[in-house]
Amino acid sequence: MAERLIEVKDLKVQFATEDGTVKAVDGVSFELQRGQVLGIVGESGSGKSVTAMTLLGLTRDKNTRFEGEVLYKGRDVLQMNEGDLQDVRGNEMSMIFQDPMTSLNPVYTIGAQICEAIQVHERADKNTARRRAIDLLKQVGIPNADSRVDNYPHEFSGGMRQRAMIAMALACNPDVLIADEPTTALDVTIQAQIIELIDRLKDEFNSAVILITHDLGVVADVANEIVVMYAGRVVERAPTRQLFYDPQHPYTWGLLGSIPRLDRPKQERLHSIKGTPPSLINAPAGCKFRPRCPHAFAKCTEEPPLENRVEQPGHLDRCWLSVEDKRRLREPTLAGTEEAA
Amino acid sequence: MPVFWLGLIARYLFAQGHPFALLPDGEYVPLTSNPWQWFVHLLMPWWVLAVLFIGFYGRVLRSNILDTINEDYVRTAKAKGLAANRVLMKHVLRNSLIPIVTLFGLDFAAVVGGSAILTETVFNLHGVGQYAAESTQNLDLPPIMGVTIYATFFIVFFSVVVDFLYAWLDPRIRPT
Repeated sequence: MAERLIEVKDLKVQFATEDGTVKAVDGVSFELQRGQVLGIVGESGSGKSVTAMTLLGLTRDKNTRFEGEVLYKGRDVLQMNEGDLQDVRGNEMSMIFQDPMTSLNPVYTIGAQICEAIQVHERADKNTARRRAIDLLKQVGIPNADSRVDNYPHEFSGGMRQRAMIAMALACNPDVLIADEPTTALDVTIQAQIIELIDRLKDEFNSAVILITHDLGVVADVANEIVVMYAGRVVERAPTRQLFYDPQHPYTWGLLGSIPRLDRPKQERLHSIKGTPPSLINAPAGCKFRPRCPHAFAKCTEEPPLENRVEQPGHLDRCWLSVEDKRRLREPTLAGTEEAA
Repeated sequence: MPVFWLGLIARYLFAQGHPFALLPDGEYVPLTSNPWQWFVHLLMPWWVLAVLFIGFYGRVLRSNILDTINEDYVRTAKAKGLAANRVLMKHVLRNSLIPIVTLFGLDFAAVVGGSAILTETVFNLHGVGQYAAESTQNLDLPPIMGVTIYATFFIVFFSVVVDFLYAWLDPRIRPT
């Protein structure tokens, strides 16, 4: 049994704003073992980034309220004081952000920013830190790392900056690497390289990865388990193969159906899920996906629990439809011949 | 806050003995004749000028810092595990300083070039500003031209200094 690094139990994150309380994350649970890749998938505003940032305590604010537990090796991150949290950040858990263009400080060299991460957590003198930074840059595939280490972020391309971000995140050999949409701002050819890089380094550094994305295609190859989030809740959670071959929640069908496929007949229009995600201030009662769901029926005004409904254990979903109905109804949506909603 | 008011209050409190008489009351001592007296005599004018500007600079810096603090790289710095102070001093401040440098360069050049005329008058320092004002009243053309060229020189000079400071603060501006 692999070592359990992270266990999130019924996490709720709420932001008090002028317009009301935003329930950004509303009862999310998952766990992560060493060596695993967990994919968190969902639309913008589904709470996936907030979940990720909460793992590092980056959402702390006087207007934020937390409930539930975020256990890292048995210690609750939500209860830690700032000092302990600073020891965890970057050292044991580190994070790669979405936009490498703005996530690096423009006024310091790449090397200086990587060295900073090393020197904060380890007693390393400047030269050792610098040599480590060069090694890291080589590991993430930056050519001429010896001279590139003294470049500024604006002298790097987008893909290289994201590599540099990864190098920085790995600087202290963290146990958990949280990648928050690491490929969203990059072009498609670079995307695959970056994901592959993260997957390879995960094995080299013996860590675990939480990969957040809105593109199921990105996580398909690397994730062991996928959590699908909608409006701050987990609507489906399953091992990757299960999720792709036997998706249970209509929202997951919509996500799968919206991936353009070359092996299916060409459609006139690219398929999409109709409507927009609900407001997190006044979320609809009952199933949060009900207003957009074409298969909604009377019972959906009641919130379905997240539970195992299919034969395979470990495959949880939040939908009242019977498993037979789901398997029948999902076909046109998955094929992309019918709008999901 | 007008300088003639603040200057007079400062003189009343610190030079004329209500409640302290720590500093000399106005007048100027040349640096070459007595450096210590030069310093002591200028302490109050310096302080008064600084107080006049500090509120404005504080407000501009504050708004710059509030802009910068929401940048993604500040979040990155926090995620690296840096202490809040260090994030602020190292990652936020440097990026917030650029507009301050512009303001400071121009203000400093103007003060050196004679625009501190009210301060000069209050503290009875016969400086460039007063000289320019007197010449204007007497329609004495050569000194006016001299003072203008003198002021222009400092404006240009400090603009150049500011440009170099920019490049030092922000590597994106440096020529490649």
